[in-house]
Amino acid sequence: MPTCQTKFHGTLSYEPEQVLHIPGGLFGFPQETQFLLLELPSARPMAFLQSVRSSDLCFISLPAQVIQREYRLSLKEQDLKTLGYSAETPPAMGRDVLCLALLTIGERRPSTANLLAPVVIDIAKHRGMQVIMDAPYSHQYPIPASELSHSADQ
Amino acid sequence: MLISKRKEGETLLIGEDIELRIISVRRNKVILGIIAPRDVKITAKKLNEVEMANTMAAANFVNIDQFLHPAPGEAERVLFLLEEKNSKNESERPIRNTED
Repeated sequence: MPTCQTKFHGTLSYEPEQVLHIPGGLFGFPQETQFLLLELPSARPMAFLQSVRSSDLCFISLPAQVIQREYRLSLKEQDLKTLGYSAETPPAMGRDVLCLALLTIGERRPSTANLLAPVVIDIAKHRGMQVIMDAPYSHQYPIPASELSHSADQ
Repeated sequence: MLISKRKEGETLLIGEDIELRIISVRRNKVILGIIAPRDVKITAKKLNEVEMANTMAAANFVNIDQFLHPAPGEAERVLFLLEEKNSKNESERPIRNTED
């Protein structure tokens, strides 16, 4: 079983089927196409996107709907197509796809979430892509500290 | 910011080497053509902002204990999310494991 050195979770062994594929990479990180999607039970619903090739690269994220209850996917036609959906048959958040907003953890300043460009993950196919939404969401949406150091009873 | 009103087909000259042409104007979409030297980077501002946000998100130097407070021995319980979701088939708040 291959192993992966992770940024926050030590060394993990994993099965190839557990790898999340992001064929286009992420914006600014075009080479990063393979990730492990991890969580710690006590930190739910936080999700970690650990790069398989770069041990030092691990994004911390929250499902967009946790940050904003009314969050709706607003995808461009091209992106819908790439994901295998269409305007008539859009993906259902939570059922077909997982939408993760990448977090920037602030030390002195508030932490922020990128709601403008979520990482949309097709749960069944273990494939994902980062999209820029066709709606005026913020790439730096402030998150209250309480949202981050939350307890398991959310 | 310089405000300039132009019609379809007209061109703006920016500096010595850059041409900005209004190719077509529709109700909510404008098509622009840009001629510029190869070393001049042209990118949508949104894209630039998103790349920056990703770069900052990649630089999170957090001590995981700071905000996660994992219970002793919990590091071994790191879960591979997709696997869980596939088998549990939840429809809302997918990361929450309702059996916890």
